[in-house]
Amino acid sequence: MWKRLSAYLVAITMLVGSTAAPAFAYDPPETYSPWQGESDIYADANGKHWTHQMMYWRAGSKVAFDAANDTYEHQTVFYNYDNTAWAVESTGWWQTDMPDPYQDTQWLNDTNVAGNPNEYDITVGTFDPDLLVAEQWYYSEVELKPTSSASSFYKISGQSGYTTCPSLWCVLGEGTAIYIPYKTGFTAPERNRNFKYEWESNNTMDAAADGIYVNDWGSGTISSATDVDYWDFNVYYAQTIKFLMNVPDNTSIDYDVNVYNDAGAIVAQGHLNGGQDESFSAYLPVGHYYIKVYSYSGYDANIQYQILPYNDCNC
Amino acid sequence: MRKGNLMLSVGLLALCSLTFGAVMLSGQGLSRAATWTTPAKMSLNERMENATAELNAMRAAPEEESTALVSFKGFKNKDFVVSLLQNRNLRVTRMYHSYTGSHTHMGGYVVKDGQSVGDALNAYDASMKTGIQNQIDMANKKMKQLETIVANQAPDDKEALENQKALNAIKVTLNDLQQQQSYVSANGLQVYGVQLIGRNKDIVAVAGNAATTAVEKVTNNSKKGWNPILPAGGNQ
Repeated sequence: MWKRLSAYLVAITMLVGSTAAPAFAYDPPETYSPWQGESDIYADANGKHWTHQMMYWRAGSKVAFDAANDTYEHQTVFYNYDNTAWAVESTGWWQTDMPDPYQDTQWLNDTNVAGNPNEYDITVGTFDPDLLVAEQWYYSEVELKPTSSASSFYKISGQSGYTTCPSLWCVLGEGTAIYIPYKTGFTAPERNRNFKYEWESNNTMDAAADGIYVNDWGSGTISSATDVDYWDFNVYYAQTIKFLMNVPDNTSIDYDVNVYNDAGAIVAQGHLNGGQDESFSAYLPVGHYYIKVYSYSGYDANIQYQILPYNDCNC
Repeated sequence: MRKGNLMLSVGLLALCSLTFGAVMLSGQGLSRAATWTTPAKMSLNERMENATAELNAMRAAPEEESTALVSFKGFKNKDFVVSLLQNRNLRVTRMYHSYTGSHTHMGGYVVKDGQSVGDALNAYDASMKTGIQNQIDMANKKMKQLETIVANQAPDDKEALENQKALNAIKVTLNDLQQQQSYVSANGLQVYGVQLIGRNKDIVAVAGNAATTAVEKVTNNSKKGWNPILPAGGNQ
């Protein structure tokens, strides 16, 4: 333990000593986030618990990574503020097809030095994200050690970072993008939960809108006061569609959402005050629809919103 | 602990706290200068030469403790790993497996404190079989989902081409995983390296085994690779 801590402190000292007066500039999330992915957190027929994550980078994405010392981590994070985390650690087994991979540890999370002891992340990362190939499905599979909890909140996020040495203790997070947020009603274990990250330009209510399916999360940022994000989806049979939008936890930032039919008429909307997540529903006939996310006031280009059109059957 | 060392430790801890204080306050993690660079990674030959130098240094300090990454000359079964590492004053912390099809699939097992090498390998083996089957099931499910999307999309759908690419890609992944399953079924768990902690003289003894290709000290040398050296020729 002491040797590891000493090694880590040496690495930090080297890092700080090497970066006098740095110019910090976070990579925008769209430059490292996978374009789409899927999360499956489940217990198999043998009672073993797993997190299986899939990621797909589109050509032209992941431009943030260079060949020097960048890292990318895809994280399954279990909420444990109420001691109900569905998992807090791995049994040990993991596999991925990401290049130069590693399984991260909880060591510094538990001491609150890095990470959060109330948010247990099960993470597989890559020391060489510049070698990720666009248009290839990547996955990570980690066997989880079950807890006594039957369910818990979870979130899926991606973290860009960098390393100063080839050791797990030297990977430092730089930017984090949330693809699936903690949300009441969506708890682990949960299967077949897809996500998509916005693909600019998606600023108009037409073919430029980002395609999403009912029951899939869409994630993006409002990067300026005039930025708008359009998503579109299809309803294949008349039904009630519910909408959730997770917004930055900041009362000075007020994102609103409108839902339009193909003719451009508003059929549903969420216009709560800043810092409040939107939740509303509408009975929609068969058709094609648009979701518009925009700033009523304020914005933060580094913190995502997440939008989810869904139905009760998840079908 | 000597007073001087204690003060140094306290100072380093304070520095660490300040650093991570910034991390916590930023909410995004500590960022870096746009011009941050590190030396390029070592080539295989450079890595092997470096391993030789490190082994010599460990020979010169036999009682010091190190963390070392051991790469095997090929993929080794459980019996070999047990025979190599049991009854040595060494703690195995990680073990590694790999399969190369169209893509390279890598993974490992983190050994629990107090877990014997044999027990760890048995647990590793059991999880390997289940894990691969689960991954095949996931890839199959994704393929069927994409097939449905592609079948139902309009030809001029703005994401039609991307969806077709995604479908083509998942078929490659599925095929790889099925091949890996066949390989494991035929050969059992195959390990190509381990990470261990112990006295240098015990690590050097492992390096003397003809089946090891390299023993490297895990240090803050950013020029090294990250996992054990993959055996040449892939999975035979």
